[in-house]
Amino acid sequence: MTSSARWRAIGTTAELFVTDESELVEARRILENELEAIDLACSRFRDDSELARVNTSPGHWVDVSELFLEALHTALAAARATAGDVDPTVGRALRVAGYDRDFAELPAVRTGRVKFVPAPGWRLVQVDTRRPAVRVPRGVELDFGATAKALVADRAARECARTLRGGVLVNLGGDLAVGGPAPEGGWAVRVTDDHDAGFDAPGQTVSIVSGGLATSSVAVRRWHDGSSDTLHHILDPASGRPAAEFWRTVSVAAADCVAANIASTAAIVRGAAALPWLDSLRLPARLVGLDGVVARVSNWPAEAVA
Amino acid sequence: MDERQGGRLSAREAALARAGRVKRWVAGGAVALTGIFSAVAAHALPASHSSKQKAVQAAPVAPAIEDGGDQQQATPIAPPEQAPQPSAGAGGGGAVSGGS
Repeated sequence: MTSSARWRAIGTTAELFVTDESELVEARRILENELEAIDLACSRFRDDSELARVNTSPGHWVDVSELFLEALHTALAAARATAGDVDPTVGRALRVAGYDRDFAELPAVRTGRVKFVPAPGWRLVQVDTRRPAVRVPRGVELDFGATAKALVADRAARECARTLRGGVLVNLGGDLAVGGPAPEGGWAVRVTDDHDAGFDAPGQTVSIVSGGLATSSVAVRRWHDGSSDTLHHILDPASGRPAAEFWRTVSVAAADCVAANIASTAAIVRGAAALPWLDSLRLPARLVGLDGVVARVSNWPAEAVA
Repeated sequence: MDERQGGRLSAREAALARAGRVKRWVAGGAVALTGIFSAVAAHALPASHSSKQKAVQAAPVAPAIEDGGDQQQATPIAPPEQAPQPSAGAGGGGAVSGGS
């Protein structure tokens, strides 16, 4: 038997499950603290965030917190691991493509001019780890949307496992991290297109006992650019355009949530090439094509027969 | 040809020979310097790659980092200890993983 709590935070849904009901309040406090800290450090939509200061100070060293540094290192490591398919320098590309405010505040149809610009590339980011401080050249704007949420899930799950009794599952908008002992039979997880859909949404239910699981989908966070085109939020850094729609939804299990989220995002960008890439990394994954046909790699379980 | 004329001719030939040697040294030096400058420039200003070329790079170069950043950080993508198992929805949890 588990207890849970669910609330809105950082533009998405935060959800928490614990195996020991008496630890739910403290687990929520830990997660809320992590969410507040990451929002202040890394939000692209807050003028007072550290990220906003870095993005609006091109050519200058900007002192940053240890948390910002960790988030940046995570994002740069993601870029290296995916040869730039998940790149934190997509900030400007997202902004000029129309994703320039919290998604809930975006108009259904974008009236301003939408442009597509390639990401300048993560190699341009300079880090002074001793101060610590960060400097980006003019034209480079950072966005940690592909990794920061997963980082918080991992940090909160680890802290809960370290300080509380029992096990915990942290779910931030579909990015899951688990810590401590799992319940009997594991943590049941429904993988589907939209994290806000219910547990009975079309998809598959699996159980996990450790690590992380993340899902990326082009079926959510879409907006119109004023013409006939519908855009989605996963940009191909090479072009600055929404990634070509080959997979509708990709779910990946990994050693932690950051790894799972990097892989699921990169898989959307890579299209057909994602299958051998995920397999080479031994990452269990479920990939749903635009036609609904499901592909599985690296021991992702088959759908249960009804 | 008197002795003075012979001396002038010898001096002229010697000067021409020295000039020839200097020309050869200058030409050789120019070639060598060109090679050195080319090597230095190639090292300092590597060719930029198109986006398509970037996608197939086998070992991306670490970002410019001052003061010993995490250039040696290992790849952050590791598989789970155990792959997900089939589930009918029993057990704890009830979490939904989807796009956001």
